[in-house]
Parts: sequence; structure tokens; C-alpha cells
Amino acid sequence: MEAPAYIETFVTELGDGVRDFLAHQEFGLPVRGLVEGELMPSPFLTWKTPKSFGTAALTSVGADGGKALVARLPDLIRPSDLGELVNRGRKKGTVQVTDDKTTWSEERSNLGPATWYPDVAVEVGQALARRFIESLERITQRYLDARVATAVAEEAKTVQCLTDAPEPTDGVLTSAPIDVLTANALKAGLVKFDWPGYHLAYPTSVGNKQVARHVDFWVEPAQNGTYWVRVSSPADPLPEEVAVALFGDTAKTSRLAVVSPPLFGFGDASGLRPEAQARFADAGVDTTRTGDATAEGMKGPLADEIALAQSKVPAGSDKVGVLATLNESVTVLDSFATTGAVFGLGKDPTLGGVTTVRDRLVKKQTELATATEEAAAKWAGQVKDQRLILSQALDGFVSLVERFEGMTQKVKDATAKLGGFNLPPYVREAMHSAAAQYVDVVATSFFPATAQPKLRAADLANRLLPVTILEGTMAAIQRTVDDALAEKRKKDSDHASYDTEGMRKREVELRARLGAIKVRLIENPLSVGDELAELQAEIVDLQTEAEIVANMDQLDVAWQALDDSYSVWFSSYATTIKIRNLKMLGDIFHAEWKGIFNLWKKGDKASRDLAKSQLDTLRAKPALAWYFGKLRETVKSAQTEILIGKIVAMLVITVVTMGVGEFVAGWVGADLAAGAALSGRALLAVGGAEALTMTALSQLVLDTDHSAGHVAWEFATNFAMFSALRKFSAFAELRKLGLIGTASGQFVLLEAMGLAKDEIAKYARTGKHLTMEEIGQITVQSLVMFVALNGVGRLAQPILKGVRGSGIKFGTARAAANRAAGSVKAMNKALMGSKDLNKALEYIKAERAWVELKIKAYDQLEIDAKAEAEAARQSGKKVKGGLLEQAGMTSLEDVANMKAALGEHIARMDAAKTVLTLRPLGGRVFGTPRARIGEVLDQLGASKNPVTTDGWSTVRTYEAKSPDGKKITIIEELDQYDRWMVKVQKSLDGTELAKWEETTGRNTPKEVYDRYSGDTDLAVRTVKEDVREAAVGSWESEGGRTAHEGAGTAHEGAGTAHEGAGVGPAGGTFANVIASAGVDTNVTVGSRGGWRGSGDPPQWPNPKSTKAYGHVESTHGPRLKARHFQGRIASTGNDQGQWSGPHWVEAEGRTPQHPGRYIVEMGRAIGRVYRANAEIVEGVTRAFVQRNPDGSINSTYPVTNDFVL
Amino acid sequence: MPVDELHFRIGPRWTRETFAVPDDPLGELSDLEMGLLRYAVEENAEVTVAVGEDEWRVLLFPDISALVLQLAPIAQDLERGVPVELSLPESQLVISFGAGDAAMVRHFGGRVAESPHTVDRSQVAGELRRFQHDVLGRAASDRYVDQADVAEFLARSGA
Repeated sequence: MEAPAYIETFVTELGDGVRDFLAHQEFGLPVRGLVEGELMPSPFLTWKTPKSFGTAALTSVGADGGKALVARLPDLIRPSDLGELVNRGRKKGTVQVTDDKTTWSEERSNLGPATWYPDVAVEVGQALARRFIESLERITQRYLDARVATAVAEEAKTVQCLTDAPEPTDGVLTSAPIDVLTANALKAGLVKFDWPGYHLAYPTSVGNKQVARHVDFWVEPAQNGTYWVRVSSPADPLPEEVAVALFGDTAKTSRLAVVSPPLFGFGDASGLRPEAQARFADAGVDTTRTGDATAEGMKGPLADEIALAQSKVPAGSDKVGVLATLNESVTVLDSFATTGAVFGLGKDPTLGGVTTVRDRLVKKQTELATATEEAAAKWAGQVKDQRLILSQALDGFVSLVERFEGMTQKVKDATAKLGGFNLPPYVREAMHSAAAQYVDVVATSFFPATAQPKLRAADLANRLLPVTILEGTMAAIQRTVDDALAEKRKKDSDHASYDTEGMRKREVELRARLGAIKVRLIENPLSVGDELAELQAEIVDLQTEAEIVANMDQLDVAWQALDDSYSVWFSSYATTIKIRNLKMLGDIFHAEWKGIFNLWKKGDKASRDLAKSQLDTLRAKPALAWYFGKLRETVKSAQTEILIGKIVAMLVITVVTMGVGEFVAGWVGADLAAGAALSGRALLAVGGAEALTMTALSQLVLDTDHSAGHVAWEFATNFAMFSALRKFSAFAELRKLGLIGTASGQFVLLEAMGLAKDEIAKYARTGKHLTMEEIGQITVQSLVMFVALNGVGRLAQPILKGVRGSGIKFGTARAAANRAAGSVKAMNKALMGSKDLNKALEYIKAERAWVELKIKAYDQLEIDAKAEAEAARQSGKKVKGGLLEQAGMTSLEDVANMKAALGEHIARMDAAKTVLTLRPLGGRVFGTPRARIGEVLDQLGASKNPVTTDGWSTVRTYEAKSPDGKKITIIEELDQYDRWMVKVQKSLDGTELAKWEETTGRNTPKEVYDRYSGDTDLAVRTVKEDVREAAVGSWESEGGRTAHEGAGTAHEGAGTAHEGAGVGPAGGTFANVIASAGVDTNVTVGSRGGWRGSGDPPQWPNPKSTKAYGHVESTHGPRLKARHFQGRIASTGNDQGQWSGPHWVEAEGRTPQHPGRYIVEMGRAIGRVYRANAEIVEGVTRAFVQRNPDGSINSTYPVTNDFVL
Repeated sequence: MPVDELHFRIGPRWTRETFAVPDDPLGELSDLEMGLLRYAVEENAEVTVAVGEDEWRVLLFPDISALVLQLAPIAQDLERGVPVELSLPESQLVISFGAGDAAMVRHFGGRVAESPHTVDRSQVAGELRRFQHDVLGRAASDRYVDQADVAEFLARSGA
């Protein structure tokens, strides 16, 4: 029976079942939280009667069950599909499929028996509950605002303070059909509102009457079946107001796929109000087509405007910062692409791809690098938000991939591993679906606000994976139990003892409980606690039992088939004997099996352990394998062969299930995929069956690090008010990577989180909403506070004062430790109350040195004390008033304990240092301040040669390895002083740059910034003047004719060279590849593409790097005299180019990252060309570049416009 | 079309332009690379590249010094029959070897000229290896590079 007929047949059961499911769910009342963009339960709103919401919402529209509710379901659960949910909840139909050689059963997901399965109502109820949760997230705040507005108006009218706020008199703005039910229920008096408390917390709040304002708009050109309107009034249109203007109903807001006020886009124009339809017709827009508004918006002419409108520009933004952030995004995206390889990202078209996003990012980098400061800086909000989306998507994706890898780690076959083909389809599909959702988030990230809900959905899918896997297990149980029930059994037969009806009841009850847990996981993960693990244990028990019963049934069927075969087909005496013997043997196995089952049914641990052991023995019996093999050989019936295969598979599965606790990630799947189910290899070989049940999976997901530690951590830091502390959860990655010790890292993070929580609570009491930026600051400050509070420097006292008579070594070590104590004490004191990250790091460094000296002193004490004890032993005299006693200790163990405590302290402070210097940017990508990069790389034991250098922002990216060999990417982070330095440097040519480095190289960026008071122009002017003074006259003696070409405005030469401030790579010009030849696009190498040569990569973009840029300075450098070129011309007859500065660095950056020859248009004067005819062409703007296969530059020089390849 | 042979010949010292020895301030180059550069600059000479009857004159520095360490993989590609280029960008010269026996010498830049040739790829590969050994051997005998470094490089690069 197909889903529509099923729904019609069981409409009453379905409607009532969904109603009953909802009636058991408790919903929250989330409002705007402490953190901007986050929701949290309101402390001022509570349900008068818990669990009353669902029923009230349904009743408010007369849909309180049965047909009335089912009729409304398609609208209420959208975008979920009712038919699909029904099919998911019921047993699937099967069909026999044959390919001439083999016959097997396949499930038909759109078909199922005409039997009512209560699980269907649970499945639909879950979906409806999820929509109600989403609806409450939209509506509760509006309801609160409306109720406040009503209360304020009432108080003004009655001139008295109310103790109880009346329900809102006006409507509450709805955004979807289900919102109508939600608003009805909220307004029906179910919610207790602590109006006095609210009024006290928010005395100036007057609420909001929730009236949709009139909207004026004009129609933008349509793009491939997508429609766009630009709102001219009001200035801050709500999407609900636009929905009214277009479709006549706020409940149709979800039809607006792109919301970027004043622009709104949608992909289906059906149902437009006549007035709106007329506007589109007037604009000549055909509204009959449909399309994907997000995708089209991103491709179309409005893309930049939409993207910019979705973010706010942070204060203090600048162009270098924008370029650095774009560089971070590219790095994070590359990490995403690498991470996704295990899912087949880049190869599997159903997963989507990220190359388009990368291309767009790189294009935007190039565009903004050559844009004005102002034009580039206005992108600061968008690039920051996009980077955040990408980082969060990477975080989720990494956790998903780790789960996936855990489940496939033992699979040897690369294809099976890549596709996860060892996993049951429902697991594979759930993971694939979550992965595709993350890829979609990335694909949409250019529109950060549009990507945000997609990210939430992907994270939710990821979070719900354990439940999804258990749902799959439940579906398997449902089928097994249903099959068992379907067999006709007499009441007084053995099968009555199987209690299949009891199992069915348990299955229904467990499925309902799992559904309820899923609803709570969506809304309030913390409330689930250990319930999921407990439920999982019950599900595993039931599955084991069900499969044993099913196997018994199957064995009976097989033996019955054997009897039938005997009577129908086999008449020869020999065959009859064979069959009879097999039947006898089968009876023995059957009896053995039944004994095991009875033991299992007893339920106590001892019986079950015995049952498992006996089953292991049975399975391992060679005779069993022989029996099935012989049976198949003798009974040459296809039907019987299928049955044998099924029995064998079920037998092996049961073994697997019973031993679930012993399995680790991937083991079961790997072995099954490899065709050898643990030690049941012989059975599978005989049965030729595929075993698909994977009970262990749920265990794997719930019981590995992913759940117990990681997920608990995630939950603890992710929910409600503690969502503010989510920042810390990213640091957990450091712990996972082994970059900080497990115990010390946890200690640091939990302590710092506690401090941050207290700090955040202070804000909470003021009613202030914190931005994520502020949360980030609090996070860092709490870590600084942790260092100050946990620093032992403040307690510093001279140690081991009372020890006399020890050796010189001890005395020296003690003196050194005690000398260091004073300064550490002062530093610790200064750190108290400070929020300065650098001070904290300096303190950690000093404290570590001090503590190490202390450990050395104790080491020496230990040595001396041992020597003293040995001397006493040899002399036979007891030591009185010895070294240990002088030190106030009773034994060497005390010394060891002291050293251990000091070591633990160092480990904690090291962890704090790592957390303070590594900012998680997603997955295994971290940022670290430019000033700290050296020590961070030292700490990680990483090479100081960057793997890439971003030519635009000068940001370098490095790679390190975690202790367990995982690749870690470290990106330099630029603070405001670093960015200012880059800005100045970008305004200088090579000679000026050298002068700048000469005058500032020994100062910190802040010192240089302060020297010029942050005045870029002043800094540039000063250095140019310095250079000009030094250079006058150097060229005039060279002679030769001059000519000008190219950009024409920049004239370079002796004494007259001038490049305005700001001219440079970032100075407003644009480069193109004019021509190329001999290009090998299969190889990607260069400053941004990687290194394939010998040894470490070159030091891009240092112009002095001979390894990177070859001999360019010797042969075409700015310091060469004219005679050099004239000599070469005389010999070769070729024109010769000379750089006016180290622009070859930029030329390399603008050249494609593939080996080959290129002519690159630099868009500004880069040097001169000495012609063979003695002419000198000044101000040329093009460069010839030849890149070697290893990525380095073979040769590069300025060329004239007539130079061809 | 007759089969042309490729030959490299080291000619007289080049004295018309004195190049400064390229510096390696960042210490990135190996001793072999740096020594070879010093040899090429200080003992700079004309090098004749001949394909059949056509000849071009290039320099030990900067042309050959940038190419000489790459000759072994180019020779290997020639022997594998894959298309490969021998490029002397400072002299704006590139010799392209197609998949078969065809070769094209192209002078690019301000004046463009092309001359097609038929070559024996194994002869070309052999000549590249011989020339590489010749240059490295000269640099070693003049003590610009260490003989052991040369031997190790040749062994590693499959030359």
C-alpha cells in the first residue's frame, strides 16, 4: 500500500496518534538571549500547565486529532513531506529481485503493509514538534513584546501598576502557517508572565504591538525564474511585512528565500496578490517560472549588494584586515575541502562542491586588493561573517567526518571506505545528508544571513545522528518483530513463550520514547542527560531478543521447507536418507538454539552471559557450517537457498548483536564488508549472505569520545545562556589534538569558563545583549584572569631556607630559584585585575622559568638526600636532623610529590598559554598573533617556512603536526599595528621598502605606529624623502633616449621617480594575464600553490629569496646600471627589462600557480626596457614571468607591450 | 626531413658584462646550488645551443645556471615520450619537443622566429645528460662545488 492510501486508511489513528505524541511533549518559551542572535528560555515566561501547549495549539484551529489534524499536517510540517514521514515510520514492503544468477529481497520504501504502525504517528509527531519548536522560537519573543505593549497601554489607561499583564489585544506577527496555532495557544492564557519582574529588569521596555506596516517596493529584473523586489519604504522592512505586500499574508514569509533588506528574493511567484502581480506585469516580468533564489542571487548582478546588506561593518575596519580575513576564509575552505575528501567531496556530485566558493573568494581578494581603502573596508562585515560561517561549518564537518572515519577505520577497501559502504544504508544516508548540508552552508556562505539557518540545520542533523541511527535500529526491530508476528503460531506452541506481542509493545513504547528524546534534543539537549544512553541499552536488548526470536522462526521455516522438499521433490532413497540425516542434525541445533533463547529470556545478567557463551560455542561448531552447506547442496531449491542464506545471516547478526559491547568503531562493519563476520567466516561463506544489521553503531556513536566527552562538552557549552560560552568549546579541539594535556587542558578551560560565566552573568543582570565580539573578549579576559588567579607567583617565598650542609650544586640551584621569585611575585601582582593578554603570556614565561629552577633545586635536594641516606646506611648510623628534615619533609616521597605538583602546574600554565595564543578558526585551523608566531611554531616543533604567503595581506600560513600526526594549520593574525605596517609597506617600492626595514626593523609594529602617530601618509612621505635624497644623481649619468608607454602616469627615473602614496599592489590598479604558454595546469605550485622543489619551501614573499625568485636581482634588479643591459643587448640582440623595485614579488603573486610562461599586466609602472635600438622605454606595465615546475621563478623581467610569447 | 641533433657547446669566456654573484641572504640554497651559481657567474661563458644547422648563443649565467639542475628530469620526460620544453627565458628561447620526433625552436619576445626540426629524442636526452655532467664536472674541478655533492645530486636526480 502506498503512502496516500495508507494515510486515508489510517487517518484516525494517524491524527490521534500525532495529537497524543504532542500531548506528551514539553516545549520551551525561548526569547532573545544574552548573546546577540541566540535564544534562551525567558526567566519571565512559564507555562501554567506543562505539556499543555501542543494540545492547545491544535485545538485552537479545531485540529485536535483524527481527520481534521491530518488535513492540516502538510501545511504545518512543511518543508517535511507527510508521505515520506509515513513511509519512514512503517515497515517497508519487499520484492524479490533476480539477475538470473541470484535472487534477493529488496525493500520498497514507498510501499508497506496495510497494517497500522504507531511508529508512523511518532515519526510525524516528531516532525510537527520540531516545527512547533521553530515556531516558538519565532513567536515567543513577539508574544512577549505584544503582551508588554498591552500591559504598558493598560497601565497608562488605568494609571495603576498591574501585577498581572493581560494577554495581547493585537495580533502577533506570524511567519508560517504553524505560527497561527502557536500564537493562538500562547494567547489562550497558558503562559504565566512575571510582569512586575520583567518591568523591574527592563523598566524602559514598552513592547511592540506587532502591526505589519505598509510596504512600498519596486520590481527588479527577474533572474532565471527568481523574483526580486526592492523596498523603498519603510527603511527597515520586516520580511513579514514584505510577505503581506506580495502574498497578502505574513504566514507566507518563508517563501522569501533571500532576505537582505531592502532586497528580497523568492523563487516561486504563484499566489501573488493581484496588486503585486500587476506590479510585476508592469515591469515586464514573467512570473510563471520557478527557480532557486539563493543560487540565482549569488550569480546575478545584485549579488554584492545582497551580501553587503546581510552584515554590519565593524568599527575600525580597514582594507588590510579585510584582505587578511579573506585569506583566512580561503585557508579554512581549503581545510574543509581536504576534510571532506573522506565523503568524496569534489568527486561525488550529490554532495555538492566548494570550488565555486573558493573561486569567488579569490576573485573578491583580487578585486578588493586593487580597490580603494574605503571600498574595500565596507566589506569588513561580510568577510568576517562569511569567515565565521565557514569556520563553524568546518567545525561541524570535522566532527561529522571523525564519526564517519571512526565507523570505517577498519575497512581496507578504499572504495567501500570512501562511500562508507560497510555501514547500513540508514547510517550512510544520514551522514551523507548531514555532510551535504554542510557543503550547502559553505556554498551559500557569501550570503551569511542566508547561510546561518542552514548552518543551524546542519549542526542539528549532526547532533541528532545518534538518534537517527537508533531510529534505523528501531526500524529493523519493527521489521523483525512484525515478521515474527506474521507467522501463524498456536497459542500453546513453543512460540507463545517468545512473547512476540510483548516485544511489539516494547518496540512501540521505545519508539515513542526515542521520539520524545529527539524533540528534547532539538530544544534542550541538556535535559536529556543519560536518558539517551539508557534508552539505547534497552533498544539493544530488544533488538537482540527480537533477532533471536526471528532466527528461531527462520530456522523453523527452514526446517519446514526441508520437510516440504522431502515430500514434494525428493523420491530417491539416497536423497531421502540424506535429508532425514540433515533434519536430525537440524533438530539438534534447533534444540540447542532454543536452550540459548530460554536462557536469554530469563533476563538476569548471569543467564544472558551464559546464553552468549553458548551461542558463541554453537556458532563456532564446524558441524553447523557443514550442516548449512550440505543442506544447500542437497536441497537444490532456490527458495530454500534464500532461506538458508537468511538464516546464516541472522545467526551471524545475532552473534554480533550479543557481543555489541566488545566492538569498537568500524570493526563490525569492516569485517562484514570484507565477507568474514568475525569468526563466523565459514557461516557467511556458506550462506553467501550480506549481513546488514549494525546494532553496534549506536553504541559507537554514543559511547565513544564523540558522545561521552565531546558531545557532553558541546551540550554543556552550547545551550541557552551557556551558548555564550560556546567560544570555549572550540578550544576543546586543542585538547582533542593533544596540543594541550587532557587533564590540564580541561582544568584550564573549565576554570576559565567559570570565570567567564560570572563575568557574563554581570551583563545578564543589566539586561544587556552581548555581541559575539564581546563574548570573544570576555573569553580572552577570563583566560588572562585564570592565569592571574592560578599563578603561584603571588605566593612566592624563598624555598628550602632551612637546608644547610647540602652541596654547592644545591646551594646554587636554590639561590637561582629564590632570586627569580621576587620578579615573578611582582608580575603576578600586576596581572591581577589586568585584561592584557601579552602580560599574561609574559607572566607564564617568567613563572615557568622560576618553577623550573625550583624543580632543579628539589632535584638536587633529592640527590643529596639519597647520598646522605646511603652514607648513613654504610656507616650504620642513623641520620638525625638530615637534609629532608631541614627541608621540612619526612621522606623522599615528599620531594617527589612536590616536584610532581610543580610539573602539573607547569602543564596547566602551558595549556593556558596554548589556549591564549591559538585562536580556533575551525577544525584544525588556528590563528596566532604575528608577534607570537615564532614561539608558537617552536612550541609545536613546526618549520618556520610558511607554506603560503598571501601577497595581498602579507599573512603567512604555516603547518604543524599534532602529537598524533594530524596536520594543523596556523595562520598569522594581524593586529591593528601589524595592519598599519602592511598598509605603509604596500605604498612603497622595493628601494623604499628596504629603507623602511632599515629604519624600523628593530622596533615592534606598535612602536613604529606610535612613532608616526598612526599617520600612514607621514610614514610613507618620510621614507620616500629618505630614499630620494640618497638616490639623486644615480641615474642621470647613464644617458640614453627615453620614451613612455603603458599606464603613462607613473614616471620613474633618476631623481624624478615618483609614485604617489598608495600606489602599489593595493593602489587601485588591476592585473591580467595577457598571454601564457607551456602551462601545466595539472601542477599547482607557487607562493599560494605549494612547493615541489627540494628542501624547505622558499621564503615567499621576501624579495631577497633567491630560491623563490632566482637571480632576478642580479640580472634585472633596480640597482643595475645601464651598461649591464647594453652589453647583454649587444651580445644577444634581445631587449632587456629592468625592475624599478622588487615588484617581482607582486608579479609572482599575480601569476597563475602553474608552471609555464606568462605575460602579466601589472596595471602600473614597474620598470623600464632597454631596447636593442638604444631606446629606453620607461614606465612599462607588463612583466614576463616563467615559473619552474617546482613553483619557483626561473626568470622574470619587465617587458614592453609588443613582447609576445 | 633529416634528423637533427641537439648539442650544447661551452665556448669562450664572456666578459662583456660582469654580473654580481647572486646573493643568498636568507640561506635557502644548498651548497651545490650556490656553488654552481658562483661558478656560472665567475666563469661565465658563451654556450652554443645547436639543433641541426641552427645555432643560438646563450650564456652560462643567467641561462644555463637556471637550467642545468633541471636537465635530468627533462631527459627522463624525453625518454618517456611525453611533450617537454627546454626553456632559456633569459635569451627568450624555447625548444619544444612534441610527443613524437618533432621539435620546434621558438624565439619569443620582441622578435619572433620559429624553426621546426625532426630529432631523435634519445639523442637529445643523452646530450642533456652529457651536458649536465660536463657543467657540474667543470664546476667541481674548479672547486666551486663539492664532488661528493655532485655525485649525490646526480644519483638522486636519476641522471
